[in-house]
Amino acid sequence: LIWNWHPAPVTPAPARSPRRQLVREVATALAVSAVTWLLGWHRMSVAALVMSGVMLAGLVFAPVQLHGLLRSLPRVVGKVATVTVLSTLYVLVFWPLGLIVRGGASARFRRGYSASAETYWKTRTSESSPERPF
Amino acid sequence: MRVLGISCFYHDAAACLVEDGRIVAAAEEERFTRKKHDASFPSNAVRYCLAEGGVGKGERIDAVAFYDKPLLKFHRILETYLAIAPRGLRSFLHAMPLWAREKLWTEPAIRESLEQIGVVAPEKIHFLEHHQSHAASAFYPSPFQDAAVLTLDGVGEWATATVGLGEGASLKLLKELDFPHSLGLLYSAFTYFTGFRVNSGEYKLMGLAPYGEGKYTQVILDKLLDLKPDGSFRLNIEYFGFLDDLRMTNEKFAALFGGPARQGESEITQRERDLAKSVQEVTEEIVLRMARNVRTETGQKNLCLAGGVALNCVANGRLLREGIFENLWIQPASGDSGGALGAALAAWHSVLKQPRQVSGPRDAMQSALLGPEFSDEQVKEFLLEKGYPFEELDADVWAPKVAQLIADEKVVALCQGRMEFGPRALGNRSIIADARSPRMQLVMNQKIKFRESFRPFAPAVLEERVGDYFELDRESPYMLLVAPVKEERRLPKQGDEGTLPVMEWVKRPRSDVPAITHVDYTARIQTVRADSNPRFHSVLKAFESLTGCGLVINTSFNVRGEPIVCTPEDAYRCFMRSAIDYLVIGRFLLDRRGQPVWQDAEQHTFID
Repeated sequence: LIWNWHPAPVTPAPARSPRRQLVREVATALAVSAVTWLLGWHRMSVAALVMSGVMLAGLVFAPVQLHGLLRSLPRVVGKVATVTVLSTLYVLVFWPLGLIVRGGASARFRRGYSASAETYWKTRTSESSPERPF
Repeated sequence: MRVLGISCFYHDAAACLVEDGRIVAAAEEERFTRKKHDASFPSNAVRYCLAEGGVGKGERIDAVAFYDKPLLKFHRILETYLAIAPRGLRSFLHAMPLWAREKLWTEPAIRESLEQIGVVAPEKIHFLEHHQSHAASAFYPSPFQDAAVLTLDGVGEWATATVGLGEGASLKLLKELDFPHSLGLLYSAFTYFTGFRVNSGEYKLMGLAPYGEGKYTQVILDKLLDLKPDGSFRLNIEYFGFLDDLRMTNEKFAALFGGPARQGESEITQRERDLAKSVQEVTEEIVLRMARNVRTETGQKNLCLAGGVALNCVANGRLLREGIFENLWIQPASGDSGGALGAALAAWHSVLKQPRQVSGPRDAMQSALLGPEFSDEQVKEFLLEKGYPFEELDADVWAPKVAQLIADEKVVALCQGRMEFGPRALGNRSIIADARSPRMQLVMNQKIKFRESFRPFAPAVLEERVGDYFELDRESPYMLLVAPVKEERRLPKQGDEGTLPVMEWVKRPRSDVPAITHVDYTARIQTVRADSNPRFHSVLKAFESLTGCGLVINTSFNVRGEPIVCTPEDAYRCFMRSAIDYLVIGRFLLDRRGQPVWQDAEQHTFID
């Protein structure tokens, strides 16, 4: 049996290859983005587009990270760099896209109430497949 | 066939093993790692579940089910940022690195973790929707062949509440309310605003409610939400901070309720008391409207409840008393940890298409005693190894001895049998004491639990005696129903209670069982049956023989900020860190006075 009530000695997690991990993560994310894009579902497409943007930034940063440039920077510089990149991404991608979709897809976030609506329950029309994580 | 259910990466990580449709084991990860609400992958809980199910290293599990759909959740988060840009920058900076680093890679993370444990995962990992997992955890183990299902929590992927219909092995979700319109988040917003911790302080807010008046109920209904007759609603998101900030409420919310949020540990004022009462009233109103609508639409006489809001036992008690449904069953692990159990059962019935057997009037939760158990040999070995003095009790004197200690106004901690799954201790990892003692509530809160003392304790009562103490006509085995104390047991109020500070009010006796009677004459009841937990029942029975009283205080065996104990070692540590008089581990009794001096950097300071 693999569980014992006496505390088990902590085994360190096996060392990961940063290159392999980065490649795997970026590839998986791009594949997921592509699949969701192809689904043609409007809201998911928007999400996929944004995800692609995030991953693009990841791609740019991957070689930098691989060559250890970020690691050699002092911690505070690394944090500033991360915040700068994410802030830029946010302003460039989210704000304009947000403005575009706010009228349509994001009705659930609209302020105010619908006095004429009889109910806010949303009927479920289909069951999502447990075969996939979305 | 064996199905492993997993919930993790948000809060209350847990694992559950289902074999041929029977729940073999379930446990929260926090109990093993000793980190409250631990969200990390539940490696220890998985190891335990597999050991309990006899699964050896290298053996294959037939199915693995995860309790939500991470990519759909990510989609919701992205769409939220789209909708609120540019205001959500701070929250975005906080969330995105976590998602990019960990949460997007849930499937590989599960596989890798299982591999490290030594389990061969099947080719496919099943991802159930968050509310599908909650609904499954509510319906499949319930004693009903058919039932309506209502799930209510903060948020899953998009859904915050769902209505479903369970028939045999089929469970279908019919409709939902979507984020950001969430009853759980509304309650959490008030939890935050009244100075308690979100995701764990909701119980405190519920406990505070009886001290206040519903002065803000109409304000909440008018300004914060639009509630329809069928219980559906929209929040006015202008008042909330959870969309675009790291806080639950914003300045507009504060202005509406007369000032900024209470800071934790500062004095609780009349405003917090009234806010607690008001949001509790609104919660009950929403739950009742939803329940009426569900009853009308499904025509079912049975209702199953799950999701974090289903732990609001005051609302549950009200729902029962209103008589909207004939029968009510609530999943004892209604929070996210129960998602592991729900995912496993949903995979078994809905994905693998296996039939469901409902056996008699009892549910399939085995009294929620689904966690680790330690044999007398293991406990004795531990005590001898550590050199802790103990007394070994024979089976026939065990219960009378424990009962005698309680009758002598001693506080006794129990660590026996299988650990409970879910947030409530039900007699196996419990601290018990005499509910008749007028000083017991204060003593236990301050010296043992180290917490705010306005919260009442729960009674564990012999099922056959429940009608002698409470206005409740059915069992409540999981401490999920609040009911009034019998009129004849109450002591009259003096009339000035409303003007007293909380700490003064709580000292006033309110019934002949004062330690478990809240200031509104209610109690959060656990009924105990001989066939569900024979050892705990025998203690109650022996106490009744000694004193004529059929109930004791039952509170979880932990101190403030710590998870409930799991192992004998945890139990001993908690015993020595607090002022508990006696510890019972299996058949072994430990007296505090005979124990060696406890060396612990984290020892708590007692408050006299």
